[in-house]
Amino acid sequence: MKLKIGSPVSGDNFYPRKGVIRNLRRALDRDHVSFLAPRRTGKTSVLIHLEETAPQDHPHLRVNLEKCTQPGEMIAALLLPFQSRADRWKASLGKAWNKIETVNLGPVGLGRKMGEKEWQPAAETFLQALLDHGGRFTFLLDEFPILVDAAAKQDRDGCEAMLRWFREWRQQTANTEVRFLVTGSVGLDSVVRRHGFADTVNDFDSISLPPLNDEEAFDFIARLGTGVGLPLDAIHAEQMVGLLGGAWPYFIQIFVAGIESALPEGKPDIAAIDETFLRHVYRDHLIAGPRNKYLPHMWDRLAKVFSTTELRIARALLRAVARGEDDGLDGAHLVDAAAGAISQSEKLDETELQIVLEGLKHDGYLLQETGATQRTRFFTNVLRDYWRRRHA
Amino acid sequence: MPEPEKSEQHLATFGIYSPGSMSPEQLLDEFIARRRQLETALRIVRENERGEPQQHLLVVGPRGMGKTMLLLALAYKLERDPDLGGEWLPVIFPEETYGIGDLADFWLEATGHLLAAIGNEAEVENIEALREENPEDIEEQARDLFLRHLAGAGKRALIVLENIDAFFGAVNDEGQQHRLRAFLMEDDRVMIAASSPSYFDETGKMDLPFYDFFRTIRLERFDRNEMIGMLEELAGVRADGAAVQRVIREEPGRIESLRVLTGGNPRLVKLIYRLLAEGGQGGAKRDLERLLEDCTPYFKHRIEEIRSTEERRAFDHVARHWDPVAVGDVAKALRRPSNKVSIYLGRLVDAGFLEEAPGSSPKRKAYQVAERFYNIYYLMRFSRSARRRLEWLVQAMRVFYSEEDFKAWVRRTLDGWRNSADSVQRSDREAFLYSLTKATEGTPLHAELAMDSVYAAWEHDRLASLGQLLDRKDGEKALGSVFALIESLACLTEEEKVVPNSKSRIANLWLKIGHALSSTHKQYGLAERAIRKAIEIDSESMSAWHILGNLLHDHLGRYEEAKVAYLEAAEFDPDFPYIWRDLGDLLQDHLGQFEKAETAYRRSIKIDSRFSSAWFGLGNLLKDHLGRYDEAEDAYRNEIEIERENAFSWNNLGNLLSSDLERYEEAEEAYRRAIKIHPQDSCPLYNLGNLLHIFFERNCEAEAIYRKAIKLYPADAYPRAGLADLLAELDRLDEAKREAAVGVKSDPSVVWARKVFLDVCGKDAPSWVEILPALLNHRPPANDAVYEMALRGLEFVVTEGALTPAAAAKLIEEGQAGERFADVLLALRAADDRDVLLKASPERRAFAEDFLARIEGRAAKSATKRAS
Repeated sequence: MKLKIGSPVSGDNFYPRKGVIRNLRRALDRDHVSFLAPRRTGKTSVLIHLEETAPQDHPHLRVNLEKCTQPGEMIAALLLPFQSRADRWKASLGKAWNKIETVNLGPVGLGRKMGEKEWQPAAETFLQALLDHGGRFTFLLDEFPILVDAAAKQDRDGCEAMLRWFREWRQQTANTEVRFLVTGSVGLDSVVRRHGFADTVNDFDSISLPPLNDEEAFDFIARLGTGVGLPLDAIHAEQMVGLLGGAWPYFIQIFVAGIESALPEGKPDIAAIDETFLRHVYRDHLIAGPRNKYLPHMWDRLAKVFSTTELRIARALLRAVARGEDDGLDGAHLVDAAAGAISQSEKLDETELQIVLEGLKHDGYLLQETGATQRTRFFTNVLRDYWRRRHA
Repeated sequence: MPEPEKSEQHLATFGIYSPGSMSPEQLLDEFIARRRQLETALRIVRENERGEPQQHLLVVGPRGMGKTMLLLALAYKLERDPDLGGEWLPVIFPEETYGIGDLADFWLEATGHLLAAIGNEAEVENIEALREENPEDIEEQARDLFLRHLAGAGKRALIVLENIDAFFGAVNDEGQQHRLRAFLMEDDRVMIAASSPSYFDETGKMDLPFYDFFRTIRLERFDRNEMIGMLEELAGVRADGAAVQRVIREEPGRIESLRVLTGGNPRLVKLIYRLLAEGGQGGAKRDLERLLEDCTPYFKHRIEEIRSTEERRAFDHVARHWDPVAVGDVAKALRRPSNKVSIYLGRLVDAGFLEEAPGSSPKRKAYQVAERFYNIYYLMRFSRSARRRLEWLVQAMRVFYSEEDFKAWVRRTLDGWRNSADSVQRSDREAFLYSLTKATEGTPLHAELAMDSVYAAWEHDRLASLGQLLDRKDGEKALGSVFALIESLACLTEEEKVVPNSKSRIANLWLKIGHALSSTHKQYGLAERAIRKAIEIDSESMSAWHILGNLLHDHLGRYEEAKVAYLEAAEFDPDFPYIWRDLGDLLQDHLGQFEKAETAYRRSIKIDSRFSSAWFGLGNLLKDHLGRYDEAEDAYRNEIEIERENAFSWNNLGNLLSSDLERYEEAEEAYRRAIKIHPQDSCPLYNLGNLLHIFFERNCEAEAIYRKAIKLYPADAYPRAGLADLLAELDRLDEAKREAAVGVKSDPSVVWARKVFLDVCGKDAPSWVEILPALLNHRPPANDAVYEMALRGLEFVVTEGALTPAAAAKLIEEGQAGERFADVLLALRAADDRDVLLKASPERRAFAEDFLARIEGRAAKSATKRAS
C-alpha cells in the first residue's frame, strides 16, 4: 500500500472499509443517499472504490461536479460517461440507448448560461431512458454541494428549480433501480440552508463516514508502514491513534510520512520508534507543522457559517467538549451546554441544536460516536488541544 | 546517486540566486543538501500511475531553503531516468509568473512551456492566436490545446510551478480553482510539483478548494550536521575544498557560529563556502563587503516578501536590534496592542523571517531575525553612523575568519595606518581598527589586538589617537591599569610635559606600564619599549636600568644587553644590592664569567650581609663552577642561617655534601630537612633517593622515595630514571624498562633519562617503538641529542624488524618533527620504492642511501644471528 497523501486513492491503495461500504450499499438499496463526512476523510476514495467494485450489471457512475456551476453542466456531466463510452452502453442499454444518444444539450461550458427550458428536457429524456431500461444504475455525485453553491450564487432561482426537479426525480425513482448518492467537501445542508432551500434535500438517507476502528487503524498503519519499509506494529499503532484522537486515514498518513522523514537515512532502526519518538513526530508534523497555523481559522469561520444564535450555541458546545473528558460528552451535557448559551428568556430549539451539531460534525470540529453511548468529542486531538488552550 | 566528479568547469558559479541559470548537469552536480527530499519527490512521481488519481506535490520553506533547486533537480532527474523519462515530461514555469491572471492564462503559459520543452516552438503561434481570439470558452480551449500537444509528446506532464501561492493570488476566483482542482483530481495526465514560502490560505483554510490538497515536503533550516554535511560534500566536489575541510576538522566552533549566523539557510551556506574556501588571503573587509553585496539582491527582496504593512513594521523594529526584542517592546514601538503584535510576530516566524530567541518563555517571548547574517546586513544598512555600520560588518567577520586571520589583518591595517597618506585615509583605517578590536571583545585575542593598537599608537607618537583606535571600556577591560596609565600619558598636554619633576613622574608612569605589561600581560616586547621610553625620558633612572636588565635577562634572553643594563643601573646607585646579585646570577648562569660573578655577589653581600639570595648565588657559583666546596658550604650555611626555611638551600647543601664533600650522613640530613620544609618538592626526594641507592645501598628506602617523587610529579623524568636504574640493578628488568621508557617519554631532553634508557632498554625494540613518538615530537626539534637518539631508534627498530620502513615513515609523518627528519623519511620510503630517490637532490640521496645501507646491513646481520 503506497503512502498517498492529499489525493484520493484507488485499487490496492484503498484501505477496504468493509463496514462503511456495506452500510452504503445497503442504504443505496433502500434509498438515495447523502454521504456525510468532513473534508480529508476519504469520501472520494470510497466513491472510487464503489465504482471500481460495482457488479457488471450494476454500474456505479462517479461524476465529479466540482467544475459545474449550472444545472445544465451537471446534466452534461451525468451524460458524459454514457456518451463517451457509447460502445459499452449501446450494447447493454439496447433501445434505451437510442433515446440517450439523441440527448443534446448543445454546447455546454463556461460562459454559456443554460436556462431550465434547455437542460430540463434533456435531463428528463436521459433519466426516463434509464428508467425504461429498468436496469440498475447508481450515480455517485461527488462535490454536489459545490455545484449547488456555485449555481445558487449565479442564479438562485434557477438553482432552486434544479433542486426541486432533482428532488422530484428522486421521489419518482425511489422504488426503481436508479439511485443517487451525493457527497462533497462542503456540507450540503449548510449550503442549502444558506441559500434558503433546505427542504429540497431532506429526503436523502444520511450515511456518515466514521474514523477507522481500532482494528482497521492498526491494520492500515501496518500496511502503510510496509509500503514505506517501516515495520510498524500494533503497539506503534496504538500509540499513534492515542495521540491523534481519531483514526482518520489522512492524519495517519501524515503521521507515517512524518515518521519516515524523522528517521535517519539508511535502514530504519525500528527500535528507535518508541513512544518518545512518536510524540516527537506528532508534535513536529501534526501540531507544530505549518498547516496548524490555520487552527485559529476554525474559530473565525464559525461566525460565517452560523447565524448569531447558532454561533453562540456552537461556541458553547465546543467549549463544553473542550472542557470535558477526553472521551467526550453525552447528549444530555451537550443540551445543557447549548441551553446555557442562549438567554434565559429563550428556549432552546432542538432543531437549531441539531443543525449546529450537524454543522460542527460535517465541518470537522466534532465527532459523534455511533452506538449506545453516542458521546461527542473533538474530531482530532490537535483541534481539541488547540481549543482547550485558546477557547476553553 | 553516483558520486559527483570534481569538475573544474563548475568552479565559477554556484548559481546561488538563480538555480535556473545553471545547466542541468551543474545543478545536479551541486545538488547536495536535500537528497533525501529529492528521493521522496521522485518516489511520489513514480507512484503516480496511470488510471489513478495523482498525488500532487508542494515544497514549502522560507526563501533560500532550496525549493527551486529541489524542483529543478526533480525535473532534471526525471528526464534522465530511463523509466520516468519515458513517461513524464517536465513543463517548467519560471520562478515569477506575473503574466498569469486566470486559468486560461495558466493553460496557455503551460502550453508555451510544453512546446519549448519538446522543441516545437513553431506551434506557439496557436497560443497567440487563441489569446487574440479570446473566445468565451478560452479556458477550456487552452486546456485542450495543452492536452493535445501533451498527447503529441506521448508523455504525461509534470508541471513545475514555483510560488504557487502567488499563482493562487492571481487565479483567485473560486470557480476557477474548483475547475482546476476537479481536473487535477480526475486527470492522470498532469501532476503538479509546486513550491511556496509557507502554507497559505488556499491550502490552509478548510473552506477553500485546495485545502490540504497537496503532499507536502517541508524544507527546514539546516541543523549542525546538515550544514557540515553540505560543506563537506561541496568541498568534495570542488577543487578549492581543502581549506574548507580544514575548517570543518579543526574549527567546529566556527561552523556552529556560521550556522547560527546564517540561520541554517542553505543559500547563505553556499556563500559562506566561498569565503571559507578563499580564507583570509583576500582583504577581509573587502571580502565581506563583497559577500554583502552579493547578498544584497537576496536580502533586499526578503523584506518585500512581507506583504502586510504592520508585519513589515514589526520586522523592521526587530531587525534594527541585534539582541532579542520582547513583544511588549515591539508593541510600544508600533503603538499597537500586544495581542495584535503577537499575531504579526507569529506570522513572521512562520514565514521564516523571525525566530523565537533562545531562552524565550511562553510568558515572555522575545524575537530575533532568523538569519543573523541578514540581521547584520539590515543593521549595517540602517545604522546611522558609519562606525556602527562597520562594527556590524566586523561582527560578521569574527565568525567567518580565524583568529590568525584577524591578527594578520589588524597588523596589516596598523601598517597601513602608520603609512596613511592623509587624514581621511588614516581616519578610515582607525575606524576599521576600532571595529576589528571591538569584534574580538570577550576573547583572549582582544587584549592582544588592543595592545597592538596601543603599541602602534605609541610607537608613532600618536597616543592622542588611541581613543580612535580603541573603545575606552574595551581598553580598560583588556589592559587594566596599563590602559589607565597609557591614557594618563596620552592626556598630558605639552605644557604638563615640561613642568619641574614631570620628567621623573612621566618616566615612572612608563616604568609602571612596562612592569604591568611584563608581569600581568606577559607582553615582554612591549614592556621593553615602555621601559626604554622611561630611560629615554630619564636616562639616569637606576630603577629603569635595573628593570630593563631583569627583563632582558629573565624574559628576553639577551644577556649581554642585560649586563650592560645592570652596569648602567649600578652606575646610578652602586649601593643597591639587588643589582649586584642579579648581575652575579647573569654572569654565572648565562655568560660563564664566574670570577666576575663572584665579585658581583660579594659586592652585594658587602652592601647587605643578610642578603640571603646573594649568599645562595655565591654558594652555587663556588660549588658548581669554582670547585671551592668548603667556601660553598659556608655560603649555603650563611644563607640558611638567614632563611632557615628555604628548602631549596637545604637541597643544594645536600647536593654539595653528597657529591662534592662526600659527607653522606649530613647530606641525608640536609635532604630530609628540605623535604620536611617542602614535602611537595620532588627534587630533594629524587636526590635523597639517589643518595640512598648509590651511596647507602638502602635500596628499599630508595625505591620508596623514588616512587613518592613520581607520585608527586608523574611527568618528572629524573625520579623515573633513578628508579629505572635501581630496578635494573635489582634485576627487575621488566619494571626497569617500563620506568626507563616512561622517563624518556616524559622529557626526552633529560640526559640522565636518555642514558638510563639506553642502558636498560638499548637493545629492546618494543621499548624503542614506545618512545619514538616522544622523540619525534620533541620540541624544540633543534635538540641534537634527542634527534640523534631518535635516529638511532629508527635505525634500530627497522633493523630489528619491529617496524617496517613504511610504519616508521608513518611515525615521522604523524609527528611534529617536520623538516628535521625529511631525509630519514626519504630513506624509509626508498626502502620500499627506490625510485623515490631519483627525484631527490644528490645530498639527500647520499644520506638516504647511507641510512638504507646501515639498516639493510644490520638487518641482514640480525637475521643471521637469529637464524643461528
